Parts: sequence; C-alpha cells; structure tokens
Amino acid sequence: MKTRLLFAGMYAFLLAGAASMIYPFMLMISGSTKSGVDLKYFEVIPHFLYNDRWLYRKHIEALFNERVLTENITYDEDILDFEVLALPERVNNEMTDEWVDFLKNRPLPDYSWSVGYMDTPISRTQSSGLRLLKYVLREKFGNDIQDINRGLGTEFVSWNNIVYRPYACLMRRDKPSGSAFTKAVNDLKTLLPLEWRYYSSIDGFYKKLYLKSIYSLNIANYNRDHASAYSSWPEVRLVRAWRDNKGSREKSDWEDFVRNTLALQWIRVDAAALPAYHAYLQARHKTIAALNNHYGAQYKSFAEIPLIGEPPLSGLALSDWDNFITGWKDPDDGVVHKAPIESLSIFSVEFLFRDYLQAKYGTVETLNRKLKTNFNSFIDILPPQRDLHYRWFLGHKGELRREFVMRNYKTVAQYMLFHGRGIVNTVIYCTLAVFFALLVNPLAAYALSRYKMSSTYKILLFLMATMAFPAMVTQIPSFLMLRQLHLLNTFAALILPGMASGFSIFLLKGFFDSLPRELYESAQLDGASEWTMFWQLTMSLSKPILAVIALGAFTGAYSNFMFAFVVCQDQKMWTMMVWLYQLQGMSGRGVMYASLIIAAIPTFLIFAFCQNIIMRGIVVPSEK
Amino acid sequence: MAKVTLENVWKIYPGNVTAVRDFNLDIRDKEFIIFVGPSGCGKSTTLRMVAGLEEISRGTIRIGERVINDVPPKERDIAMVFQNYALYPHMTVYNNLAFGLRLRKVPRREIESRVASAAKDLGIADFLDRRPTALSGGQRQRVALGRAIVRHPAVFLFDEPLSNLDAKMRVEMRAMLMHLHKRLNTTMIYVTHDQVEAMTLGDRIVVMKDGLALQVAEPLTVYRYPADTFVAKFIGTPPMNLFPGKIISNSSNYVFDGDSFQLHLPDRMTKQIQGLANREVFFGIRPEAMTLCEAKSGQPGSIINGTVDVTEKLGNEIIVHIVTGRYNFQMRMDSGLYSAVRQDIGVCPKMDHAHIFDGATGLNLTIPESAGATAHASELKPTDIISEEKKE
Repeated sequence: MKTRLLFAGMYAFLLAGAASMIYPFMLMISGSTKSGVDLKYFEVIPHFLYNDRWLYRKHIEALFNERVLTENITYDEDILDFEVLALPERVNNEMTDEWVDFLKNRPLPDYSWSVGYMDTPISRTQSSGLRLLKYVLREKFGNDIQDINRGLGTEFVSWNNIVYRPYACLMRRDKPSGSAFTKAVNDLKTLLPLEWRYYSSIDGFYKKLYLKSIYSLNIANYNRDHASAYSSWPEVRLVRAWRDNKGSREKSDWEDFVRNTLALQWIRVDAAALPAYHAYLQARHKTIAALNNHYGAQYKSFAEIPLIGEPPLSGLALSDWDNFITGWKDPDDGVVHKAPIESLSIFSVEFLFRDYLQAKYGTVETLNRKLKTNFNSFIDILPPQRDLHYRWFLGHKGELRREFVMRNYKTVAQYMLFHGRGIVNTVIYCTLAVFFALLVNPLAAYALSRYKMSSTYKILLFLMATMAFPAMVTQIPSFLMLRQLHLLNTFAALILPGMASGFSIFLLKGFFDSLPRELYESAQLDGASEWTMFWQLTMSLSKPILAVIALGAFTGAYSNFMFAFVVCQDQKMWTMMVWLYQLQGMSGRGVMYASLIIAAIPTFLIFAFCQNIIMRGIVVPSEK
Repeated sequence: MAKVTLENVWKIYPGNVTAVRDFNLDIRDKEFIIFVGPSGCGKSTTLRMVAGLEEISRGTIRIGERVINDVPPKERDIAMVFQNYALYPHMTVYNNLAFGLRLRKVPRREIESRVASAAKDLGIADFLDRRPTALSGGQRQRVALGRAIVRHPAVFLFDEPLSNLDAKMRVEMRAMLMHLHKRLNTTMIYVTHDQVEAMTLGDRIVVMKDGLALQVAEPLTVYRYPADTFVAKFIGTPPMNLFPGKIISNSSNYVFDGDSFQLHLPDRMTKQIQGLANREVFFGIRPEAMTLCEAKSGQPGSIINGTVDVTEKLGNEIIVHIVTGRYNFQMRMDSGLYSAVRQDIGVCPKMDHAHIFDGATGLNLTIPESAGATAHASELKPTDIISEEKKE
C-alpha cells in the first residue's frame, strides 16, 4: 500500500512537472496569435478561435489598420478600444447592396478610401494586405529591393522595411500623396476585397474630431450651447451647405470647420463666389502677368480664371485656393477676401451616396419602404460600412481565423526567407559545430581513457575547471583573441571557441572507461589498429552518448546569439538567431512568440530524432 | 602448431608489485596446458604476457623458435577467448567472427568458408545474423570460441572462459573444449581458478600461487603428489586433510604425533624424513584414503579416533566431518557404508597415500622426483626482489 502511494505520488509529481512545462508552451503558442486587441489576455486557447465576438474585434481592428480613431470616425461612434466592440445586431442587406452598387457605379477618388489589413502599428506584424502588396511588388520588380527603390522612388532598406501607412485625407494639412509608391498601392487597393475598404466619413470626422473636442462627449453640453434637443450624438449631422443668412452657433461651427479644418478635397465652391475669387486673385497678384508667371498659365484676364473643383496637389494655386477658403487679409488695404459662406458646400462620400439614393428612390418614404429602413430624411443616411464589413466577416470566419493564427508565423517565415543568408549561415555553423564536437571531444576522451598517464587526473580536473566559468566571462577574451588571429566574421570564429568542451570530454571519458577492456584487447589480437578501435569500436558503441554530445553541440550553436553577434558583426555572417533578434526588436509580442516557436522547431526535431537513438541504445553485453 | 617457452619470466608492475616471479615452463606442441590458482596468483598475467597484452618485465617468451617479447599481439599468431566473451556488441555474430579476418585482408570467400565451418562446428550457424545481446551466455561463449577458431592461430589462449556460465553449461562447454582440442590439435593455454576444469581439461596443469608456479605435472600426479600444502589444499574437493604434529623417532621406525592420535609412518618414507625428528610437520591424507575401523580392534598407531560432527550425503558417496582433538577433518566413503557410521568413530588412514609436509615451508617431503614440483621460490624474500630491481 505504501509503495502504491509512493508510485502514485511520483506519477502525480511527474504529471505536474509535465503540465508545468506544457502550460507555458501552450501560452506561447496562444500568444503567437495575438494582435493589439487581445494582447493582454493569457489563455491556453485563444478566444477568437471559438468566440465570434473576439474574432470580429480582431477583424475590425485589422480592417482599420489598428487605429481606433479611424473606426470611430467611420462608424460614427465613440469607443476607446476595439475590445469593447460587440457584434452588430443585424445587417440591412438591401441597404448594403445599395452601397455596394453605389461603390461599383460611382468611381470615387483614391484618397476617399483606405484599405484594411495593411498596417499594424500595435501588433507590429504583417497583415495579408501588406503581404499581398509585397508579392505584387516582387512580381513586378523582382527580388532586388533596389529595383523597387528605383522604380517607385522609395528608400526601403530591405523587404522587411516595406510599410504602407494608410492615410486619411481629412484635415486641411492632409494632402493626397502623388508618389509612385502610393500609385502602386492604389493599384493594389483595387485588387483587395471591396469589403476591406473603409471610406472617410466627413460626418464622423466633423463630430469626432471637431464638435466633440469643443463640446465634450456629453451631448447635453452641445444641446446647452446650441439650444438644441438631440438625444445622442449620431443625431447630429453635418449639413452640406449653409444657405440662410441667420447667424447661429451651428452655423459658426460649420463655417469654422469648413474654412479652417476640413481638407480642401471635400469642399466645393459654387459659381456665386466667382466675383469674389477674381477680386481675391487680383488683390493677391496685382497683374494677370504675375499670376500667369506663378501659375504657369496663359490667362488673358482675371475674369477668365475658373473656380477650382478638385484642388491641385501642390503649387501656388493650391495655397491661393486655401487662402480663399480660409480668408485672406490684403496687407495693402486691410480688405479680407474669402469665399462667401453661401457658396461653400461639402462634397463627401456621404452626400454622394445620399444623392445616389435620392436619384434612385425620389423620396425618403419610398426608400424606407424598399430598403426596410426608417429614415426621417436623406441626411440621416450614413453609408452602411459597418454592415458591409460585418456581412463579409460572417462569410469568412474560417479564413479570418487562419489568417490570425498564421499571420505572425508568415511574418517570421517571410522575414527569414528574405534573410536567407541567415539560414545558410546557421546550417553551416551547426553542421560544423556538430562535426567538430563529434571529432575533437571523443578523440580527447579516447586518449584520456585508453592511455592512463600519471597526469590524467590533473588534465581532467583542468577540463572540469573550464566548466566553472560562465560563457559570458570568456566572451571578451575570446573576441580579443579571435581579433588578433584575424578570424572575426568567419565560421572559424564561431566554431573554434566552443569546439572542445570540458563537460563533453568528461562525459565521454566516463563512458569510454565503462567499455570493457577486453573489447580492446580482443580487437588488438584481431589485428585492429588504434584508429579501427577508436572508430569501429568506441564510436560505434557510444552512439547514445554521442547523440547527447551532438545534441548539445547543435543546441549550443543554434541558440548561440550573443557570441555569434559579437564575433560576426558583418551582416553577411549573421546567423538566424541574430536576425531573429533584429526581428524581435521591430515586432510585436505575437511575432516574437511565433519567432521563438519557429526557432524551436529544429531543436525539437533533432531532439526527437536523438531520443530515438538513445531509446535504441546499445547495451554492452559484457557481464551476464 | 607451436611450442611455447617461458624462461625466467617476471612481471613487475609499477610500484614494485610483483605479479609473476621467475616463471619457467616449456609448453609442448599441441599440448593443452592449464594455469590454475586462486585469484591474484598471476595466472592471467602470465597468459596476457603470452598474448602480448602485458609487457614482459624480465625473461623471455618464445612461440616456436621466435622470441616474441617485442612482437605486437596481432603478429604473435595467437587467439584469445575472454571470460566476459568480449564480443563486439554492435556487430552481428557473423561480423564478430569475420572482423579479425577482414582486418587481416583475408579474401572474402575464404572468410565466408571459414566462418561457415566454425559456425557449424560450434552449433551457432543458426544465429549468424543476430547480435550478441540476443544470445545466451553459452551461445556467446561459443561465438567467442568461433572468433578464435576462424583465425587458425598457432596458440589458443583461454582466460577463464567458463567462469560466467552456469554449472550445467560449464559441463557442456568443457566437453566441447576437449573435443575441440582433439580436433584442432593446437597448443592451448587455459587459465582457470576452478580445479575441476583444471583436472578434467588439461594434459598438464600448472598450479600457481603469489606469482609462483608451484607444480607442473599431469593432473593425476598433482592430485596424488601435491608439491606442498597449498597444492594439497587447492586440488581436490574436499581438500586433503592436513594434521599438524611432530615426527617422533622410535627405535624401530618413525611415528607421527598428532596430539590426539599417533600414527606409524610407513617404511617408504624413512629415507625422506630421516633427521626430522621433533620437527613440526603436517600429516596429509586425502579424505577417500581412509577407512572405517573399529575403535578398539585397530592396532595402536594406525587409528584416528574422533566424533562425527556432520554428514554430507551426496548420493553415491558421503562425506563425514569428524572432530578429533582440536582438529576437524573429512572422510569420503561409499554411501553403502552409511549405516556403519556411529557418533564415536575410528578411522584408519591408508598409509600408502599419506604425505608428510614441512611445517615451516609447507613443502611435501615425501614426493617422488617425477612429480613436477618446481624449485620452491618461497626463499625469495620480497627484499631480494626489490634490491634486484634497483640494480637494473
């Protein structure tokens, strides 16, 4: 009974030990699937694998390129974190279809929308959109990063440095980029699913970044200042234009927003402003010749100059136009020139969509009937972007789970492939390290075991003493020695210092000592040379212990980071560990976990392989 | 086919540990010679010197006419079988047999035929593909034998080859070895600590102790005429009975005074024990060389009276342990006589088989010249050895 209890206790202890090893490993695997939204949770099985809400959160996070502000603007809501997102209650399919039709029929400028799965400022990994971009670029420009830099006018250091920061053209200072790289990305954007797009919502922008920053998130404060009675922020709408002459707080908000804050791309000025515009230009440039000179144009008179629709990307014309919208005080006579408020209107995706619906359905009632909605007027309609995103989500859950599970691994794999030299270096280094460990240590141990000198014990003691010093201590002397020998940045520098190991020699000597002396005597009588005895007898019989030595040499070489980094500072000689360290420096925790797991695979495989040899272990049948 | 000659062979280990002293022996061609003795007597060391596994400190060893002192083992044309078989664990039986031949660059066909014939002789042909781990002790030792046989050596060396086997297997292997010797007709040197093996196998046996060869003779001669008390005790089970006592010179003859008994010594000894009166000696008699005799009826001076301690009944014979005075001795007799054994017992030694040993040196004083006793080297004091060593 006591024995049984003892055994039960031992097994329980073993199981607890196993669990304590496996649990952190599971956390590592789970951690390798994390993105910003679930980074702070540690669980064995990641939530998003079985919980749609978490998957949706990760999806929306990736879709908005991990920018919660963009999500707030686009969806017209106020959340601080993707973590609080709940699944939308329902999808209005009819409305969503209308939106898709609108997008397909009405070409919108590139700067009006961005695409998701491109940038990961928090997770710091590579989403599928970015991976696709790289793939497209490779197809087009080949493997050499310099070809891309030449072709697109970029300055990427390596493939891993290619990033695309989605921008939203909302603020006055936001200018669409006309660079070749942006054009390449814009070409790519159209290849990605329509459902990955998000369109800049000027309505959302107006509320999120303008009104709410002035009047706080509390609608009551807004109501007090505006003598209005909104029950919630979504009821507040950005109107297209302000045609009446009455002054009001709402009007002055709108005017300030349009004149000073909103990007020019979203502002249109109607013909009523033409006289004011001509007067402004005349005041600014005095003569038409001066204007022509600045604009590079051929106008005969100011009256000939048309209003600007979509503003130019740069140049004096742009700044003139900007000043005309904002208001410009002539320094000569103090007259302020600006576009009259009555002539200003907002030209945004929302209004285009509303116009599209109005043209199609005529009245709000018809629309409500056909699309099963409940709008009071067209201005209440916002593009159903959330519905479209969610609808796509519902149909692609498996794909998304795969993406989130694999994303970080793909990032690491791609990183390593782009640094193929690191893998080659590691393979060469490990092979040489194992080879020399299996040559030098057994030879030394064999000599010590077979030929007992009077000083054998002292030699052994000396070898053991080398184990007393941590590797860190010898690193700098080793480095200095290797430098004197002009061996830095060579494989010799990596291999030489660790070639002979006191511990291995000690281990092997003990094992060789345990081999029966008669085996050697028998071999001697059989006519075996010393080499035959070493190679065919000793080494053949020592396979299990040699497997241990080889495993040690392999893991030592494979996991050698600091020393490898110190003695081989030339990038061409960097091993995988050094590259992975670099990767970890520029990546999020999920990628770090994934890289550690990928790095552990070779060791794991080798160990499994060696385990087999040890299990098969040859028992020396010397004694009965 | 060779004779082996050892002349004044010494083995002295570092630190002046002398393992073999002044060993002289002529091993005749085709002879099966046994080195026997307790552990540490130097028998294995001597064998290993012949094999070339130990250096010869002093003296000469010849195989045939060739002095092999400085010849490496592989060129001595010998094969050796070890106590622990020393098979190569990672090779199959076939490869174990073929290994030595391959190293000697014997043609492949030749190897195959030699291995096949040895395997057939030894009954191991069925498991040539197995590894030694898969074999029993007896099979392993046969493989080890086979490894020696395939080499066709001039001399076979055996270092306690049967010690690791169980009793039954030992009997079997002993018969096989005898058969093998007969068939191969080769010089064989066999080391054992087991006197039964020594007696049954050898043409001649060499009894060794403390590095000295005490007696070299045919087994029965050694049994009948042990050179000294050690040999007398070592050979034979139960060993020879040795009674300490004195020789008393009577008017007409000599009498052994064993404290609790007195025995008339036969006339044939007179010459050898002249002048030994009052010397401490041992009276030696084999257990089977005694008969029961009536305590009263026997002549005075020919009977040992005692009491029976225990009786071992072995089947065909019984061994009776008898106490007389301060001494114990054993008597072997036919089990048919068991009914005649009483608590108080009288035993009459057959004086034809009796021996007198010197009390100080242990030497057999009544041994014939032809019994192969060597010049007893007990006079060589350790100090002498050291001083000789220093002269070199």
